[in-house]
Amino acid sequence: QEDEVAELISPNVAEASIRLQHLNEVNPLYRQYYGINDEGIHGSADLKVIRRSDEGRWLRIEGRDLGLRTQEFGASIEQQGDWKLGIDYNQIPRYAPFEVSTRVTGIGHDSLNLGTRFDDKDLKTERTATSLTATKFISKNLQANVTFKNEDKKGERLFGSNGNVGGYLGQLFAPEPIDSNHKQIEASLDYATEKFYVSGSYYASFYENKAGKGLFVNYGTTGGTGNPVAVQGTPTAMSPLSLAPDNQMHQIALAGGYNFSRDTRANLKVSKSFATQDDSFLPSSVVPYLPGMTRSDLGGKVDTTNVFGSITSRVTDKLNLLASWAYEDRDDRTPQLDYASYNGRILQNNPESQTTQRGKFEASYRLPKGYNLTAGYDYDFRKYEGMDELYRDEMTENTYRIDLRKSLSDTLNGSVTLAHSERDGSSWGTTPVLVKTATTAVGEHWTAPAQFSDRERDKLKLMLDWMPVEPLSVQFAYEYAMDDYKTRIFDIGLNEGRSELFSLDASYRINDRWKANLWYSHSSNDIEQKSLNSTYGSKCDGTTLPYTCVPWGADLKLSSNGVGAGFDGQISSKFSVGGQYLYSRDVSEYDISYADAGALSSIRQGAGILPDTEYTLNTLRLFARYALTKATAIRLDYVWDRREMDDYTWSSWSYSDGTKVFVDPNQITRVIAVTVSHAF
Amino acid sequence: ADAPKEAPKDIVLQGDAKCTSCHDEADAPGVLHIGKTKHGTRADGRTPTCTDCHGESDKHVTYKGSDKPPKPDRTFDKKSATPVAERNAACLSCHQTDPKRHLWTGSTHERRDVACSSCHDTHAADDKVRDKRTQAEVCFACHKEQRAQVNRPSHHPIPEGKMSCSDCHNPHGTTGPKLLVKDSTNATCYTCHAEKRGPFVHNHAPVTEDCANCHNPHGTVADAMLKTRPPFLCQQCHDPANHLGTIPGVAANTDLSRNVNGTVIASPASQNNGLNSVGVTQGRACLNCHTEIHGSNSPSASSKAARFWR
Repeated sequence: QEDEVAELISPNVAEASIRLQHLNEVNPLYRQYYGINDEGIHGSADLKVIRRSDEGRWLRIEGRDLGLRTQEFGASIEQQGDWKLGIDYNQIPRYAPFEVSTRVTGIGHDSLNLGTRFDDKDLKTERTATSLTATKFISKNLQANVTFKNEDKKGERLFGSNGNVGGYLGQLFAPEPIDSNHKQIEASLDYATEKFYVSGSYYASFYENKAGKGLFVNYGTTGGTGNPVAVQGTPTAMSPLSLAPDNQMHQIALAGGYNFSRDTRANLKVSKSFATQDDSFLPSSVVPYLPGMTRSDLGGKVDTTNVFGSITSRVTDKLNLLASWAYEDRDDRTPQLDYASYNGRILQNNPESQTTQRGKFEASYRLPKGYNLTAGYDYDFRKYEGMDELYRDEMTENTYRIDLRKSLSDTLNGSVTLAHSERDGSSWGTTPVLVKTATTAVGEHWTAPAQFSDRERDKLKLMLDWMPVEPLSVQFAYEYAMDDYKTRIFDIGLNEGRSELFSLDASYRINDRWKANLWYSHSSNDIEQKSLNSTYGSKCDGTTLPYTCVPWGADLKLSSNGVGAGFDGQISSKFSVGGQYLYSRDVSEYDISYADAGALSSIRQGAGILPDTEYTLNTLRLFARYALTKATAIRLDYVWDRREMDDYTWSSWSYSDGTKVFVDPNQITRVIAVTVSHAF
Repeated sequence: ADAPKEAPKDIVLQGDAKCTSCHDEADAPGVLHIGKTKHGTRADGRTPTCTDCHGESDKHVTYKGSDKPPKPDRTFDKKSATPVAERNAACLSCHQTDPKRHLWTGSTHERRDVACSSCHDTHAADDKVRDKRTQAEVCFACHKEQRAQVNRPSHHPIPEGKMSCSDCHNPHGTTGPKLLVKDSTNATCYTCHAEKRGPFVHNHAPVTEDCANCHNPHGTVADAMLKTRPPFLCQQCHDPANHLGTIPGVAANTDLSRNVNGTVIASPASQNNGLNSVGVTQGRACLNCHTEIHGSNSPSASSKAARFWR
């Protein structure tokens, strides 16, 4: 009996397992993050060692998926309550959820060419991150923490370019090379007592792009010779494409909190960050600069100040108050310089500064019979500076909300929340231009950009938690939200948004050995927006076909249904089984309508007819585990995964260079895995 | 005479005999496996004993009846009658001083009466919410909308167990919006997507302001976790000037004789999906040409760079 008790209370584990899994085929939608890109058998190992000494020293070593692209490894040693050292390694692969047939060569490098033969290519990126952590209690109240993370990201991903040369008119397949390093360090010193805490911290981020500064798209005639879109020294309007520049950021922060009494607490945090981006540009021989430009880098500099303060107080046993305020000042101090000339206008870089304030005031009152009533007010304010293209300098949103909940359990708990928001801003800096008479554009300043438009938002949230009998728990949730946007002219832009969610969950503990759960949810989203179809340089006066513009509207609907079910059970003390089933289906509809302008219609035949897009996920996971001996167990896993994709994104589409992207509409993946584990 | 009865011995924690003399390994619910956790590490003088969290519970301990005894002073199960604030106070009496829990008081979860025990199993060696492969299940118990979103085709690798909610959120309270780990949405995103930080020669206003203007990081049906597909997303902000208000269409049924600006393309040989309304709809849609949508550092003396083409 003593041995049994010792086993129950000891954390010590030393376990290794070997896993062999067989995939029937590689399906792009399934492989996206699982990292297995070959059908057949794949081996991997898991490892777990935990040791705790009588002196409270812990040793943890853990490995997951060792041998696969998703492998993880972690190790730490800790004297509980005193110090801890740890290392973690994590690999995150991502494969594009489609297959590509292309004759583009040089993928993953900064110079792309056109070959003669079409080959199948996979676009993928992989992150490998190593973290080191150290924690030390310098005294009972003083704690030091340091974390360092080094992350590399390599691979290539879909990017794009446009061309009109060498017989290639239109979009070109131009994958972006990814080869970057990101280092982050975070250190803090925390002094905390029951009465107060003070914390000082430093955070730094260093991003380095090793893939180069530009992507050269050298698509000329077949074989890569003659009249390319761009090579070094003969850039075009489209190439080279600039790649992300290196940047750095340092932040220092000071935070503190104080308990004025058992019922009243205040917090304050002030931080200041300094970000720079001064990576040198491509030479002007490659990207012609504006004559007279002297800088060889942007000299980007952004200083950000954050202040956060909050105070909470239980004024009486029943009344609880909260007030908080968050302030951010993002000061873009990058010098402005001339970079381009367009239609006689000089274009400069556009430093963007903004100030944000978020305030919250909330009062909660405990009513009889376990009811709790909360009334809240949220204030959101944004101020923009130095952005030429923006139409408003300030935006303010006020939210009023009320929440009623029953916080003490009986058999039924519930809550209902209602919120109403009103957002508006300062006067518009520009007036909509109704008809443009020059050769440029129609409809300037017609749209109220989404984040600058006046908006009324209403939200309702209802939750019920019911435990009719001890082993059964049922939960019901309903959410509704409605956005009403105020447009500037002709209802151009966002008009309305609605969303609704219904969800039902149930879990049942059949007995100590068996339990099951089931959930269903349905949600719908609906967006209504309007625009105007015009041709380049149109006056929109309808005198001729090119001058005829057609208003149109879109009603975008998304309907989602999800079902999940699972069970776990023990057939005997040696034999356990479990399973999960997940069904998820998303259907998007694009209902586009416009007036028939007859002979003067500038609408292309077929435009506005978008097929529904549908995505269905069906995944069944089953396992059975049998303990062969006290130390050795065998486990069988079976996964059946079906993903159906009916989406127009890539159908009947080809890049100008002939590249085609395929998404199999019906992808079934079957995985059978055998795992043998042994405890030492 | 009977030999004097031996006083029960502590099993895991100092003073736990008061409880473990009844709640032994045969009892349900089992309590002894707290010994596998940090709470059960006796060498650490800070670790509590049963009554530190559950209260002295004398009525429960001294009950002599044959039916169920009254519950301990403080219980933490779902049907607990102990007020949430009192339950949490038991945890916070030690954990209030943890650096990541300084801001619990006043946080959204605290204000909404979420109990520590709603998410954590303090008696278990493997606390579900502290394992990134199972954490999301715990969060989804309340956050149903996000549960649906992570199963959409474009998502972060949460269902695959490579990321967890706590990579971006600190449920114990933060200074950022939506309990994000950093002071702002963008600062949080930059911890993994630092290449988007800039600043750039050509900045794109909504990007600089808030990544969530265009993206829903929990998952969407559009590529790159965009909230709405382009061109619709772009048309929510951009004027219908030139081709920006183009009605989308797909290659299968669209007249390809006009280019993306509506101009008739003279040579059928140069007609191509890419420069038609199809070009703003299929493939990467608007981003087929406006590649550098997060901002470009191209110093080119060309308006193409300012329009995020290069």
